[in-house]
Amino acid sequence: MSEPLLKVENLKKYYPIKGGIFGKVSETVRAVDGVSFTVNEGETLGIVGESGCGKSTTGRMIMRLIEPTEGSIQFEGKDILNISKSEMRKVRKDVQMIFQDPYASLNPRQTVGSIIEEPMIVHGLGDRKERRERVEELLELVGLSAYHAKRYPHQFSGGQRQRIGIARALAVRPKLIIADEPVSALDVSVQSQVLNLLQDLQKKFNLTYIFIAHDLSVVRHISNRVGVMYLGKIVEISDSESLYDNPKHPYTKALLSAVPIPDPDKTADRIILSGDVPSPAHPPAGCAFHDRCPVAMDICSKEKPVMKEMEDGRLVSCHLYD
Amino acid sequence: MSETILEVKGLKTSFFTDDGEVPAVDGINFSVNEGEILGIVGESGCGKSVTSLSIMGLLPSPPGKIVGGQILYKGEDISHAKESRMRKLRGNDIAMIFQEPMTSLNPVFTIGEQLTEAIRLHNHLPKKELESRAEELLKMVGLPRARELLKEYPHELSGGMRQRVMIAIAMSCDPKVLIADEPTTALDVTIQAQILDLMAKLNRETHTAIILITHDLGVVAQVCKRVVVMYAGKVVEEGDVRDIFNHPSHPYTEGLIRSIPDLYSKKEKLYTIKGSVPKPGSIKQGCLFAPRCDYVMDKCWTNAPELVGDSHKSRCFLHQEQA
Ligand SMILES: Nc1ncnc2c1ncn2[C@@H]1O[C@H](COP(=O)(O)OP(=O)(O)OP(=O)(O)O)[C@@H](O)[C@H]1O
Ligand SMILES: Nc1ncnc2c1ncn2[C@@H]1O[C@H](COP(=O)(O)OP(=O)(O)OP(=O)(O)O)[C@@H](O)[C@H]1O
Ligand SMILES: [Mg+2]
Ligand SMILES: [Mg+2]
Repeated sequence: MSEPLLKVENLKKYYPIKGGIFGKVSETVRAVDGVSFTVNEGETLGIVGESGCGKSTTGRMIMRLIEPTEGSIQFEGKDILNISKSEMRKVRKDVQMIFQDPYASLNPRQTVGSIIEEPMIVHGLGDRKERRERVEELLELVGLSAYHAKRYPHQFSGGQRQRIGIARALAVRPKLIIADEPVSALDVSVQSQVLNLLQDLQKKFNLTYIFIAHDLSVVRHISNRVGVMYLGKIVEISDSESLYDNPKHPYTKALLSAVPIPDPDKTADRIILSGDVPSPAHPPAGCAFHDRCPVAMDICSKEKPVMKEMEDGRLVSCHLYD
Repeated sequence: MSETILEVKGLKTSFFTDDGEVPAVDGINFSVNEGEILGIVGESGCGKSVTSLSIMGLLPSPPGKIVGGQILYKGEDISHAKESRMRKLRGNDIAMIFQEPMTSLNPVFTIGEQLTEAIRLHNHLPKKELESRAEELLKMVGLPRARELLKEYPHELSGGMRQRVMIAIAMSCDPKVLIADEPTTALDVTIQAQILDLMAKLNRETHTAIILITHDLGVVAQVCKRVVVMYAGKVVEEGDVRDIFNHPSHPYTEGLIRSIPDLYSKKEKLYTIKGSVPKPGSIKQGCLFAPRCDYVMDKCWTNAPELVGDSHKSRCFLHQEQA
């Protein structure tokens, strides 16, 4: 086995919430609470979970847009939380991000050409003429046309704007792309175009993706491996085939069974969970899922489960498998 | 065969903007039978919300206006009914829940105040009974701690709880028709499953007909009996949910179904519909789907097909002899 491209260990992000007249820290939001995973070169790791479980925070820490409270992030074997400025510059070129909202993430006053060119300027790549040529090449690559460079974002549809965001991310030839809900804002008929584009580009440039989404069908389609998050933690991570066909964690099971299947002849045996996702400021003691878990045992409210490796190499964090 | 309770006939609703008339809903037809769950699906901007606001008499006007067609509730055309008549219908016969439960609850009143107000509009009960009816409604929609919740404010509730409160308010008048416009789109899947379950249960128990508006084909397949597919302000296909999913007859419906990634198996490559959804009014002649259609024929560019068929209707020349 070769070294993974990215290795994340025990990553945490706690947000202190100040309250009261003296501005003392009254509560802590555990947005990400000890997340570990690896990503191999050329593969796609999907991260799924419901709103607020810490998906974006995880992605943003890897981008170093947010400083982790604890933990380590290794990219190509280097600990990127403890490297020199010049080494970090190189990492910043190698790791790019695609955002959910194709409307908010593009500056409305910049032409599409200058939006795509910007990261090349930031990283000092090419001269003016070379950059312009690259912009045109990138536009064609994502299924737009060279003449689109002169236009502004508002002249494009949602799907086209997402293509512009992808072109911008590809501009500096990154190795790893973190895509945070890249198709969630798109119509179904346009979503599949963007998913196919991402897959084509991956093959072409041997790209590695971390694909964050809440749509489980989309994640299955695009990912080699999938991690399921609940309340700041990964509860299960494995290759996507076995995760979907034979989920181990009760939360994964419930999540999969809740997806409405677009086939009236297939009625899934729904596991309807009671209650809501708890606040990350007050995670339940023991296993964070125990108060909604249909198969909770005594131990679950007392002890936090740890990540265990199953015979087939899958990782699950649940007392059922103690 | 149960009775038709609501019938939308050739409804046209336009917005009059600085750029001219935008035909958001362009002559749509469908009917809702007593006690059934009818799905309306379509992608963003196809006119789903404008349709429901037109039925409810809640169009922002100006710029919105019903410019043609009829909306028949139990045979009465309500498309141009007086506001006093509409208010009475909204209190007693037709209710609606919206996509974003936060914006439709008033942040400065308690859940109890809002719920009792809704009940009082059509039911003059003494204060004590109002409160117990309110508590009963919260229990009916599966909310725990109903009595305490009455004293709480909307921001103290989660998204799923707020949507349950909205459903309780909508059901407070015992409506004959409930229009639910993307009731679960803002919610997580596990919470969505709870709300869809609740709506199906209410439909069974109270026989309220539900118009479920969504862009999610999965939701339609799991909850609805009949479905209307909209594209660019028009109905392109209508029929029994099984017929539509197993034998889609409009290329748009077929494309939509094939574009969705499968939860149970992995395809190499997803099917795609080329291009994107047109702006209302931007296509002046022919079939609105022609520029994206894999089966496009010469006449599709010049002639607009009609919606034809008996129980399974479709707006496409592929299935029509006419031209
Ligand atoms: N700056 C902040 N201060 C306090 N809490 C925060 C902050 N940023 C995020 N959080 C909290 O951290 C948790 C994780 O947020 P995050 O955005 O990572 O979730 P997510 O999984 O991406 O959700 P979504 O699916 O809604 O995008 C949430 O409960 C959020 O409210
Ligand atoms: N106040 C308005 N002024 C002008 N045009 C409007 C107005 N409201 C809606 N429209 C237009 O009418 C069309 C139909 O809008 P509608 O809100 O019904 O779409 P929808 O099917 O509900 O979409 P979504 O899935 O995004 O909710 C859109 O093209 C929209 O831009
Ligand atoms: Mg997020
Ligand atoms: Mg709408």
